[in-house]
Amino acid sequence: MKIEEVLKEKKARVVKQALATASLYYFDAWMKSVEEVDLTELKEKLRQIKEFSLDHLGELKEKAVNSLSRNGICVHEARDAREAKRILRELIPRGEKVVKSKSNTIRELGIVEGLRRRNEVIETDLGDFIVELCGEEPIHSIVPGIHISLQRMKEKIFEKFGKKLGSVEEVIQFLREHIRRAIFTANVALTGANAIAADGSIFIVENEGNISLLSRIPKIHIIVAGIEKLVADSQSALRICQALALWGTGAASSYINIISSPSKTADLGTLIYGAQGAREVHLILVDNGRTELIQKGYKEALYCINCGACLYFCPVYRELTTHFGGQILGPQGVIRRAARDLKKNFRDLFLCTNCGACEKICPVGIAIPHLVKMLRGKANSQKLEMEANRKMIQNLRKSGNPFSSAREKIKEIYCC
Amino acid sequence: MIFHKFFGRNTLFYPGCLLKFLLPELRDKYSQILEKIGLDFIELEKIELCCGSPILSAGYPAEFKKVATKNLELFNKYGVEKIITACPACYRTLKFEYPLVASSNIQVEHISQTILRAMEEGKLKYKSRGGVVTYHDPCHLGRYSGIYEEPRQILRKLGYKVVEMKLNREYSFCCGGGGGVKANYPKLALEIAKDRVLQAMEVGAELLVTTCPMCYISLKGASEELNNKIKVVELSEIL
Repeated sequence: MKIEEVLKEKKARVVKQALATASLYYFDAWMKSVEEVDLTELKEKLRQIKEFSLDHLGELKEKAVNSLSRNGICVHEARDAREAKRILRELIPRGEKVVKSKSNTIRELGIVEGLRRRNEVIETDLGDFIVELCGEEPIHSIVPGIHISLQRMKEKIFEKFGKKLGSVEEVIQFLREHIRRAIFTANVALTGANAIAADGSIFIVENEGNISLLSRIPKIHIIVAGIEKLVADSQSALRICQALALWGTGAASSYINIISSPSKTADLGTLIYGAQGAREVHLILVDNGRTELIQKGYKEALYCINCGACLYFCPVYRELTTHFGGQILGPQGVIRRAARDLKKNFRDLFLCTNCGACEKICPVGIAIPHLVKMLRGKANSQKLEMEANRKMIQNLRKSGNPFSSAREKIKEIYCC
Repeated sequence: MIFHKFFGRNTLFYPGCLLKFLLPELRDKYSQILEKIGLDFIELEKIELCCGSPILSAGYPAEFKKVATKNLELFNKYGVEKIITACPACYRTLKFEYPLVASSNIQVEHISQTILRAMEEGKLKYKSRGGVVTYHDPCHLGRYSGIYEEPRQILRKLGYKVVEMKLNREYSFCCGGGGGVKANYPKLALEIAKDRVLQAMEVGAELLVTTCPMCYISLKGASEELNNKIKVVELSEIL
């Protein structure tokens, strides 16, 4: 869709309004929560954790595979989406009901779409459930459905389930029961992860409680996570999880699940898996372009912990919403897409105003404007240039300033 | 003074291309203010080049180096030891990017710093006035350079009541014009600017003040689109 069309699109305007309102609530809550936090110190610490992890990815992966396997978790490695999907097909019997939680990696890989051809897949995150029910796209990594009104939800629930509901509490109660029924009758749970400690634990953050159930009730729990989720130890993982919650919602998360082994008991004299929780735990570690991203010099993009704070502050995301980024939303998506296929995606790089709001709010201080500029440079060197930029450069070479010299002729105000 | 002009220790007023070519009346205003303060300064308007900020952010680092080197040679030739600029993008570029190209001892100042100091030293007389204003932090001056308070202090000294928009200082909201968006995607730039103008209107300000020619052009255009319910001014206009 053309930028001009997006700017007029009714759907995008609704999302914009919702984002603007949510960002103010978020900002207040966040400011209050970090009042007594030394932000500089915390951000520096988070940065060190991510930097160390990505610099030692190979070792950490090996260590994680060993320690997790020792404790009974099956670790699989997938180079790309295709491999991840193949592994999932092997793990999940055809026709089996799958309950899943919100996961940016699962979304990035486009797993659900394919899986639905052979399995019933049910979202258990309230936001994602509503988004799907309304035939929408998630607009934020933590609060995917903030743009959908209560009225709309009720209409859709009536349409799909024939149930007339009143208050928001009634809607939640209905969804809770509906989702729980699915969880209690499914054998396979599919979730993401927020951090993987190389010393042998998988960390999953949540507020609703659905992930606690997903990791305990169905027999098989499959976790899909990008390799950048690896960190050295559980302490580092915990820090990431706390920061993710704080920056993601402006408050502490309700739960952090730490999974180090399938459910087990030795009370009957021999070690039995699947005592009360999942009998099998699988971790699929996905690369999907991450190593390539590091090799190309954009390692810092992978410092992202997916809190979505930048989406609240990015002026361009607010206007263009899901049209700015793609499967991975906002600035991160723009960078990842351009790094992967510059020819196809370079134009999106020039939508960024370089305002730096993302970098300022980012818990890891990812220098997004710098990454954008690096990629712009790469695009230009491959002759993938914007028309206005080319003119600007010509003007500068000719007359020493980015405009043509006569004032009345200046139309393209290229500066800053 | 003439002696200095030959042997260095010159202060250069570097207005920046936007003021020079698009807003010459504001450029004149600023040089008058500098004269009023009694500053002895030189101008190299006809020979200096663009600071290179737009090419740097558009992703032409090699071209930027050429421009910066030429400018630095020129500054050295004219014995410039201090630059006062009225443009936040020039300020950031001259102060933080030039030293990465070649070592330089040139001191760089944003004109709001010069003006505030002059006010404090009693070198700039002004009439106190009333009214409620809000200040828009230009990204290059605020977030990128850490100058948040000087423009606000000037406004307070002028007798204005300064109210803050929710997103201010390091969490300020962009005017939409930066990074080349105004040239590459002007409609997008305008929509973002409109958002910012609405934010200023929400806090009940009569004036939306900024200290950046790009923000000024963006916000003024947006305010016009919104039927001029709030007046957008550049700092020089109210001094």
